[in-house]
Amino acid sequence: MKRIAARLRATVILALGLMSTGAWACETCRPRVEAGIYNEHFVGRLALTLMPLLVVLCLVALIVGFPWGAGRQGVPGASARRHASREES
Amino acid sequence: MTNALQGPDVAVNRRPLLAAALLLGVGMGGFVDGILLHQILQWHNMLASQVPVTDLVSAKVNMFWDGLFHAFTWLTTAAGLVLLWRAGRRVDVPWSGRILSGGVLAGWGLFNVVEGLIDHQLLGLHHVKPGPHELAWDLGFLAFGVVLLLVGGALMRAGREDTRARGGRPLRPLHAH
Repeated sequence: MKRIAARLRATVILALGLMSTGAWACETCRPRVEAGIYNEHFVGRLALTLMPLLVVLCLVALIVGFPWGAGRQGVPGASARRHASREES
Repeated sequence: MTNALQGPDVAVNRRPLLAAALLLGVGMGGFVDGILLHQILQWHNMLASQVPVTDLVSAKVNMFWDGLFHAFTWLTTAAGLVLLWRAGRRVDVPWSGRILSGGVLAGWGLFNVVEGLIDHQLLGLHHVKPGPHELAWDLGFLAFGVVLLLVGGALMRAGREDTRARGGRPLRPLHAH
């Protein structure tokens, strides 16, 4: 019985918390927030936000695509093993 | 007979694993910045210098741009996971923990250096910790990135010795029958 009462109390507290004005994501300021995001600066700010990531991704593509000489090579020691196996046969 | 498959003609292709590791590092480095510095410590936001956080509205506008930044770091991480999955299925890619961990660290360092140079130094969009010692914090962020790059590079170089595919299988040419 005590457990049920405790759960009921917790549910009521949670429901009251969710119904409080603070949990409604600031309905009154939402138009001002949207005006602060979707304005004449939007495209410029979008470019500024994404620019570092795009530059990093271009650098990654350059690093991976660059012919370092070590990207494709034979397995170390494999040549000797193959030679030995030919001699055995 | 199996040795005949492992000769100089067997291609060791580290690029798929390296690409995956770098993308994972860039993405996770972005998450460290966003989650730790933006959200937990709340030292700065993405456009804090352009839209100073003075009230709830400006905080929510910054939250939007932080969210967009997180969305792209999420996409980068997801792309890294896809590439890692593909690399694991290939028989010509050495399954090297050192290349993976080194690439992740190097990707994180690359993110720190580029983000630090562009956002903090060149554009001044935000600083690591605005205030009396902001230049020191910015330079520390850059130095940490350089250290990550060096450690990651060393690990990747050490990983060149790893020459087994996933599951300990010997490497084979990609289109071997």
